[in-house]
Amino acid sequence: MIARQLKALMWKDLRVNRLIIVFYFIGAAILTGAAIIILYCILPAPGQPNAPYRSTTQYFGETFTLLMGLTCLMAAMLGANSASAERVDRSDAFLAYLPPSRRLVLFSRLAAGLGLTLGLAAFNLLLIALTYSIGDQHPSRYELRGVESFLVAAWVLFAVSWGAAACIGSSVAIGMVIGLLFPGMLWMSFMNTGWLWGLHGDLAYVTCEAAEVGLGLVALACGYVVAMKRQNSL
Amino acid sequence: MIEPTAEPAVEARGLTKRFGSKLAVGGLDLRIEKGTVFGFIGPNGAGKSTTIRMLMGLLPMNGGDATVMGIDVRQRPEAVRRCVGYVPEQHLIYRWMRVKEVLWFCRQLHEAWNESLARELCQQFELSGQTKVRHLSKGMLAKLALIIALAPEPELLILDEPMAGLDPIIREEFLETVLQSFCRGGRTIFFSTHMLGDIQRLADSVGIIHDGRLLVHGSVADLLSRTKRVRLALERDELPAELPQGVIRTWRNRRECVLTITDCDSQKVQHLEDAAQVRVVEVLDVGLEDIFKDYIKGQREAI
Repeated sequence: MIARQLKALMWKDLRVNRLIIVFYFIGAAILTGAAIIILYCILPAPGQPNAPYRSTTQYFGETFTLLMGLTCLMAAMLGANSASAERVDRSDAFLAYLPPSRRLVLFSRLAAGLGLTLGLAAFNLLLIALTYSIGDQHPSRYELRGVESFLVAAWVLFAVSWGAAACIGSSVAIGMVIGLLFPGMLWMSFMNTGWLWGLHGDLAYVTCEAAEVGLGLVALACGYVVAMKRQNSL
Repeated sequence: MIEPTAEPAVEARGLTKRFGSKLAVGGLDLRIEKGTVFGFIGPNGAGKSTTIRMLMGLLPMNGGDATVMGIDVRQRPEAVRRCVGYVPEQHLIYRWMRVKEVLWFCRQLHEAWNESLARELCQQFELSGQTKVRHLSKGMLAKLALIIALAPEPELLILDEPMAGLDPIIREEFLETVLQSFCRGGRTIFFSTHMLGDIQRLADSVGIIHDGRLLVHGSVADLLSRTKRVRLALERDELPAELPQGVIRTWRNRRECVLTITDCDSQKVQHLEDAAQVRVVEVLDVGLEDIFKDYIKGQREAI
């Protein structure tokens, strides 16, 4: 019975978040299109003496690494939307008087949101991997560290947005929190890769990443507890 | 007369809820027998919905305890929701879903679901599965909410002002469906509404709540037969010093006075007739709507 309920709840939660996924793919298509236009119409061809890129593989590899920024933004939106969308439109109240337990409802929201975030990150990684597998070049260590930092940032953004959205009542305030969090986390990721790792080596870098993962876990747990205790809006 | 059964459908003892310093429901005792229709009436803000939400386990209670179909609400609120069909006043069904998706979704969440009943009701209400919930009118939304409540074939149906704002035709259709589809096989209805005519027609027992306190709780037939209005002609501009027990409201206009008396019998009328300078003009039967108004106004005027 619980499996059947979970299936239905997950279906509903995936549908609740579907617009964010559509935005992501539109954003990815725009970024890729812009990258193609810039490469072939504006920049000198790769390999030429004044060209900033050695090869098209490197150019698209870095473009898709930048796409991780959009993945991070979507992770933040998925976190906030999973925790608050049904509370804001009050459909939470409909679910409250149906049989599934509050615990199962929250678990489904979390699983759907996290699953979609992982799906987007996997899609992004696939694009990077495909680019390098087709081309004649391997990603640099710096680039790999960058991807890793972005993945951690996506996790923290998802978790902190989930926690914030569970605690904050107003959708405007939630949007403001995400608006502040997103550039902050991206900046932290760049600092992590470029400064911490470059200057202080692996240990400092890994410590910082671990702290971010820990922060995400705490935010996720806090959001879950608050959402469990929050009275429904019926 | 309703025979008390061993296990009531709903039993609450000292049910209390506070919102900050405001007492929403204060020590409410309630017993609803299985297989009966209970009408729960009260003015806006009296505590009807709060009581229902506590009984459904949707709102934690500050005091007292309650069982619904023998299940302790505090201990097992989810088990209560499994055996109760609930139609709230506001139908907050997912607006982006289609009707068929809502019904599929609800079917997956319920252990028992009578699919043929759901289809039959959809046909009866001319509710198309392809229609999006956001495109349904208020009346159609209420009908969809009713299908969701009836299809799991619950033992208890709680209706919390589900027909507020609906036109009389849809209201009639709604009530007929409830009666035809639900009132078979000794199931119980807990019906909160402002439509007192519906309560008088359908309910076996009634509860009148005001300011979180239950003023009356008993059989509708008893309440109607034992509550009377007594019209008096006064010889002076004052009421008799001693009024009989059970006067719930006094209305006076110079030398005419109307008393609404509960548990009114010939002794009480005689008591009035014996009073000096008072003449009983007539004793009138009262409908549920007037009884309700007199209870509430009597309470307000007493303050």
